[in-house]
Amino acid sequence: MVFWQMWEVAFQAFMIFIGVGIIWMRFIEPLFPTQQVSVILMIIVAVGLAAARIVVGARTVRKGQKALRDKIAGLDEPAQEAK
Amino acid sequence: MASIDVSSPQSSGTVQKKQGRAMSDRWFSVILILPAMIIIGFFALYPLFYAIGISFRFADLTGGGVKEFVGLDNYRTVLFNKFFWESVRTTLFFTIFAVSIEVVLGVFVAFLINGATVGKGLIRSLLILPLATAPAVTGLFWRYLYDTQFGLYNYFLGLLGLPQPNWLGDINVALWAVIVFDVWLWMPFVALIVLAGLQALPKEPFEAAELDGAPYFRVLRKLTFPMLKPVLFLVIILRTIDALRLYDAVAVLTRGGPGSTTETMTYYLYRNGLVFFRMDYASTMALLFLYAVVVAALFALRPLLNMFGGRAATR
Amino acid sequence: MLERRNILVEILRYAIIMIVLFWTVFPIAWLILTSFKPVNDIMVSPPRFIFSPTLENYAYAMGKANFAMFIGNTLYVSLLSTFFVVILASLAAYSFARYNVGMGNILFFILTTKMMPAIAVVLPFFLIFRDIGNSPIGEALGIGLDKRNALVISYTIFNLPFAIWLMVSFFQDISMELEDSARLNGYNRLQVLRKVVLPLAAPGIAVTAIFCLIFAWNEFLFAYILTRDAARTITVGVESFFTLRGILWGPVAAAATISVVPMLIFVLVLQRFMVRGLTFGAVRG
Repeated sequence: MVFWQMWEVAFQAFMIFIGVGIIWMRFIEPLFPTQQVSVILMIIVAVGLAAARIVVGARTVRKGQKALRDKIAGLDEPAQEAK
Repeated sequence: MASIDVSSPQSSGTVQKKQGRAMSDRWFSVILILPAMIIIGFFALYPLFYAIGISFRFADLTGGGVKEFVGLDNYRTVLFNKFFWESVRTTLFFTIFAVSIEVVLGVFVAFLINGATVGKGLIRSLLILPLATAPAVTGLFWRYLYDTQFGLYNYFLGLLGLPQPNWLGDINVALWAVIVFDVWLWMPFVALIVLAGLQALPKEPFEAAELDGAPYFRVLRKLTFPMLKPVLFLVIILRTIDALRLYDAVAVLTRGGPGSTTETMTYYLYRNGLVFFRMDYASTMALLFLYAVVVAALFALRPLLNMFGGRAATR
Repeated sequence: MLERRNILVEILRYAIIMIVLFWTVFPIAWLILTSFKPVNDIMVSPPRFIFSPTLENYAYAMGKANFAMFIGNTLYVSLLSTFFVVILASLAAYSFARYNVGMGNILFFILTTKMMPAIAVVLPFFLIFRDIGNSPIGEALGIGLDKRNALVISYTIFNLPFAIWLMVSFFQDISMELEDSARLNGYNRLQVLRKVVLPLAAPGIAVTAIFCLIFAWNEFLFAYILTRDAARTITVGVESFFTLRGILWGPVAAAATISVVPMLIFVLVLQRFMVRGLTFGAVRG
């Protein structure tokens, strides 16, 4: 299950990466004197935001995992004692 | 013969058997889906990667084929192309109006039919008919129906004393001609689905409301529509997805004209790819479109899948 | 007082329903009518409702325009692709329904393939088939541009996601207990599939097959772009009556009628299942 959740996050990050690129090329690039500079900055911003999404997402997934583990531990204890 | 796994002394026999069974179940399930997945994967992913590849290259088929790498230039060209954005505007205009009209009329008709006492089966059978046809075929015939001289529609409009527009020739009317065709084709679809949804609603709340003497419109607002929300949402999504991709009707009714007033995004894409033979621009546009659709889906589909609960919910 | 109001409402209701039905059915009826009209009764203003029927349009289509070949192509392509889709999809759908192999995300992926604009898929297909057609494999298997098998492949691919999703909903209706008891009685998985599941799922499979058939029969874009003369289908063939003097509406109507009527009959027979199919199994008619 962790795999699918991370896949979710990674996919969204990828979408963000592309989305930034598209919006940048249309609106922000014309403001730059040289294309080189614009492309470099675009990549930095796009990767940055995507990475941010991954970090936030991973943190949320990890918290969810921990909560689940705690819940299971809570259920297991009476069973352990019964053994 | 069924295999009975020897159970270990620790856990119970059924657990061990379930684990052993789970392993070979896995294999079985994977083998079953393999052929279909391979085909879908190969033929859905390969064109995708192919298109991605072309979108970064110069590809004018009249000039001999796929050529050199041009980086993001195709994207820049497309994003700044005014005809591209025109087609996007046309597509959005069409989608919003066509879908709204279809849904509103369809819901209205569904309620009408739901309250009918006789002939529901016959009505449903008749409503399905347009959907069995090929839009490209019936659409072509609608050119004859829309004809200003010989066409039936203007004849009827004349009989009723209403204005008889030049459906396919007037730049202000042409897109509406396409919208009317689409409504004709899909309003029954909406009506049938909403009708099914209505008929699937539980009876008890409505009986209780009737006993309480609740007025008709209050029942509609507080009871019927909230319960219909999943169905309505589904219908709107399905129609929107299809309306955004409109091609057939445009190709046979108007060919994008007059001028380019009915040129939807997919039609403009087709023109670039197979009329101008600029596969590079066509692929780029296709990818941009796909991106927009996937992003919209991420927002719209999750709630949809969740609304339908166990049937298609994720994990 | 109440009685009279009720009757008025009912009359109004049915009146509106009649209008809607008329509006819905009339274009198709007019199409079929027109196919039997002689030219002089078609290109006439005001439109003529009374005429003496003739088969000249059909004769023209079959004879001059080689329409019989188009019909053959459409039959071949629809039936064969539906056959492949049903086999592949039922296996996969059974697996998804029973074993839940990452179903959620795969279904999402499947829906996304539906959302891809067909154009975006056809262009690469055009290039791929062009290349395959020129290669020895293509020559041997009969795959390439303007070859019927190219359409068979294309339709199979295009219908698979929908067919899988639809059949999953049908398979989920079959209770697991039947299968489990068969397993306990000593049948292995394949036998369970054959003897227990498939017979029960037969109606669902039949419905899916019909949907795929209708789709393949009515498909336009792939047929238009991937074929030219030899493999052309009915749906594209309807457009082959454009002359310099204008469109020959008589033969067009005849061709369109040939295209439309078989599917109309199918659909009337299946109307009970249509809603389920149209909503991908989400709403049960």
